[in-house]
Amino acid sequence: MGSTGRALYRLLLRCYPEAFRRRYAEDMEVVFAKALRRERDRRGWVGVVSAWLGAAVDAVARGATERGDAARRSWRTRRTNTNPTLTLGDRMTLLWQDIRYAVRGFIRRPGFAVVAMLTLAIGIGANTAMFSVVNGALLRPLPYEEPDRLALIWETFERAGMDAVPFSEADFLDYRDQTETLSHMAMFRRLEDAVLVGDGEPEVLNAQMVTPSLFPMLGAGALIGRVFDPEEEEPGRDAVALLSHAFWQDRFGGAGDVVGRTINLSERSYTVVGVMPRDFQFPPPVSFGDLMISSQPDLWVPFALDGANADRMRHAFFVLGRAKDGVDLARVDTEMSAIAARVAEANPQTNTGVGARIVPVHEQSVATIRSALLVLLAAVGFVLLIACTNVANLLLARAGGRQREIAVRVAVGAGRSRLVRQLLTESMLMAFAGGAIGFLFAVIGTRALFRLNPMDLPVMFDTGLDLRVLAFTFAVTGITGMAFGLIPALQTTKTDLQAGLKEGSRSTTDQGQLRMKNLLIVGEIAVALMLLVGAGLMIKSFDRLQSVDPGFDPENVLTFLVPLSEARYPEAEQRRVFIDAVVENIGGLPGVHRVGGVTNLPLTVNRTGSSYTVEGEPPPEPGEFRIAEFRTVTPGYFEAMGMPLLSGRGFSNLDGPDAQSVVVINETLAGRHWDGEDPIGKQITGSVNGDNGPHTVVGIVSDVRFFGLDVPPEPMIYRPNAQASNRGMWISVRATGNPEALGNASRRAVWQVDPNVPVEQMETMRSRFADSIAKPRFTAQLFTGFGLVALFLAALGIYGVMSFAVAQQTKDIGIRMAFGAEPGKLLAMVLTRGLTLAGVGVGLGLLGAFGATRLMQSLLYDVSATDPGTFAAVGSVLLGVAALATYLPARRATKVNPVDALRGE
Amino acid sequence: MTEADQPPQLKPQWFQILLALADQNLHGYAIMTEVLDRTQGRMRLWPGMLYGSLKRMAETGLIEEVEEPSPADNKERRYYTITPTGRRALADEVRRLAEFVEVARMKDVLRG
Repeated sequence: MGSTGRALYRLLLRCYPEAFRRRYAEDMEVVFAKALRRERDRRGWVGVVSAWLGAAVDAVARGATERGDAARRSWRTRRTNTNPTLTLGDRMTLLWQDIRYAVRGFIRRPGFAVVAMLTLAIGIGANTAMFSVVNGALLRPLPYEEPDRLALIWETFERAGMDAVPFSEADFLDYRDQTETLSHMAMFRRLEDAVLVGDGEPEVLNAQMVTPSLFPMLGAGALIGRVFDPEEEEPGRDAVALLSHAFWQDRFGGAGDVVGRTINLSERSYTVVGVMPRDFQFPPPVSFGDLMISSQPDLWVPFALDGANADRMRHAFFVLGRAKDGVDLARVDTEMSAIAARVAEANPQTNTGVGARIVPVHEQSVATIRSALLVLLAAVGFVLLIACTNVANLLLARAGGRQREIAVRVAVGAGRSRLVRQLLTESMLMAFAGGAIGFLFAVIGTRALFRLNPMDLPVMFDTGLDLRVLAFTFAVTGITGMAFGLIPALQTTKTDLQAGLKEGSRSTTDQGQLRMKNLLIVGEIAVALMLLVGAGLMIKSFDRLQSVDPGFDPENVLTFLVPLSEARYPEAEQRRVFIDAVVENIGGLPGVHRVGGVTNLPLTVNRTGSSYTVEGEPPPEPGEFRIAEFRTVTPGYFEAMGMPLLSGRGFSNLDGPDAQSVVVINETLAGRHWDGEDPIGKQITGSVNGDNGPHTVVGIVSDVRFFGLDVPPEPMIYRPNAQASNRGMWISVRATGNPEALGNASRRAVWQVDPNVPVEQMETMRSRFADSIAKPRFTAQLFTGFGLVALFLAALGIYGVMSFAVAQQTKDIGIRMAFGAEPGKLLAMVLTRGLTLAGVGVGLGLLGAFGATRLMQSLLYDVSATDPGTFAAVGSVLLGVAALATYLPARRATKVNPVDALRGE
Repeated sequence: MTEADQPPQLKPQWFQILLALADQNLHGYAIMTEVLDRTQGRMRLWPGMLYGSLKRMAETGLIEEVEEPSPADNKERRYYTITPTGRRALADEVRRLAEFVEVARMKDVLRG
């Protein structure tokens, strides 16, 4: 065998464990060389090749066997060596010893234990609370049968870029006839005229119109009586009602014989056929897009579907479908598009460009809150990370004082693994104590969070702390205990016996600890910075949002709804007269500056849009929707709301039914069609009630943020009450003083005109304004809270580490001072050191934040996720805090008395 | 004789190694060639297999390593010798095989 062959064979020999090699490699090499020669002599190159192949297979196979053997043996030996005769009972005894030892340690230094546990409790508690919200809102399924097969179906106006348009009744009927992938399809909408007239004050009920198939679709049955029969969707057979459990309790005292009784809603009587169980809720109290706000319905009535007269233009209905068994939702989506195409072909006038798509019901219900919740969960995770770092630092600092104790234990024969286990038992114990307190915090915190419910969280997801939350807390606690315990435990037990036993000596371990502490503090600052940048962005975004000009003046305005039922006020003229009388009554009240009515108030989310055309421009082609929002207002409305008139005039009492039909438009509409020109006197056609005009433009008012401060203004057309219809109005009352003081007087003023008309949703405009930004405000506040906790913990951490460093260097500093170093220089030295750490942390944090904050972009209004101003500001704040936290220990360094420092040795 | 009392069956390569060592002490290569020749090339003990087996057989007490003074040209100094235990195990195995041969003979296997 040549030298190459020998090298190759030695390479093969590396397959064997070292011990085996040491003993046999030489012999094996000799044997193989002889065998190879023999093969070559007998069979030539065939022999050589087969010998090498055989040797290779042999090495790999036997090598694996020998290695396995060696590993098994070493494991067995180690086990028997460390714990010669450990039974389970012995182990439990040891664990118990460790626990008792740890508890004694805590009692000896209660301050340390309390600080550590509370730090952890805050971290774990915040995480548990946040997770239980996420669990309730995002993870728990909706309480319907097989909820993952349910989907909302939307029509889409592709050319107008609208991707979630409610259905029209006629389209619904076509889809229901044609679908082969859905087993059920149901349509629903809130019943508008649901005024309960009885003995007391008139009241608007939340009644939902639903097609009867809804109940079998959701797998819901009645508690008492029955759900709707399929025939009850036919007009004339629909005068039946199903009561909610709560309504049944409130109004009927939970009477068992409620079935068969009648209930009068807006002059129409419905026969009660059943009561739904307590836990049944439909629609789920979540916002389905911004189109529907739902609260707990009081009752359900059937949707009377009139196939012959069904409207194809009124897109006002929500549609829910259930996929057939074995059909996945993607196929349903494809089918809906196909049906949309067929319907469009059959009805080109109305449905050209109308498509359809589905959104799984769970996705729809959490769409608006998912990103906020997940970002907050991440933020709160960061807080825990910082808490862990701090406790780890505390443990390291304490470990310094424990070196003697550890050294003694090593000297009397404790192995390192035994010591690590002891120290980990301590940190685990601390983590679980912290976890228990944290869980309590979470229980209280979650309740508070849900009482406030500023995020419009779906309250139906009862956010009790369930098993999943408990498991989460347990897991987080365990990981936490390991996270902050392991590094100090390993670090501490690396102790040098000699040095440890010597009193007052400074061992190399101290240096290692300092390095570890530096590393932890850099990490902590980086994480804190990321969190603070997140908070900074949220604050800035909220500030931008808050300072958006809503287009009206929300101060001193009281608003409320006066709904007029079709049954009681069938004629448009009657409604006009009623509203005029109400406005006049309220206008006469003392303390009222101006009063006006409008069909939809800003910052309520109802839409009443319709298509329009403009004089001199060709009408839009089918499928090209040019839509404006239409509002009917009384003459005093613009003044009552404080909307500045930009050009022309507002409405007056002269704009009566027989006068020229006039409109006031908003800036956006004026800009869209008459950029630079004067639109006054131009003509517009279109309306929401069939009276299409033409109407003459007489004025331009400011843009109003109707659908939320973050939604850009849309084209808007206002018509005077005397020339357009209303179905009841929102009344806004501008007070000279406190608007809330006008509440009762305003109610009485309405009931003076008709005592059977309810007064609903009375609220100041200021509070509507505040509500509309409650969600971003809350997110920003929560984030800021997390950020401040992080800042505080990070400052504590820097302070602790710098104090430790200074204490360690006392002798050093003493010598320098003895040699005449100036205190200023020493101060600078320590400061430089602290700020270097902080600087590295800030640098890393800025990089991290640059990557991470992109995930928040969807939560930010008018602020870039990498906003340089915020990054710079937060970076400098953190550096400033770090400087302060370093300054105190640094000053202490300059106060060192050289004599004392040197004597201390 | 209950099953538990029966001597464990030897692995084929162990049997062959014991057989090779039955009348003389050998070093590794000699064992390999003897087995190879005796089995007409059917059992080739590659070095890993060979020394893995020798190691384990020594641990079990079937064989022992011995240092033999060797001619200067022979680099291999590690020889193996069979122990009394190994001899007993070999005898047991041979007896077992002989029983099978006897049975086979009674059944006239060879004539067919």
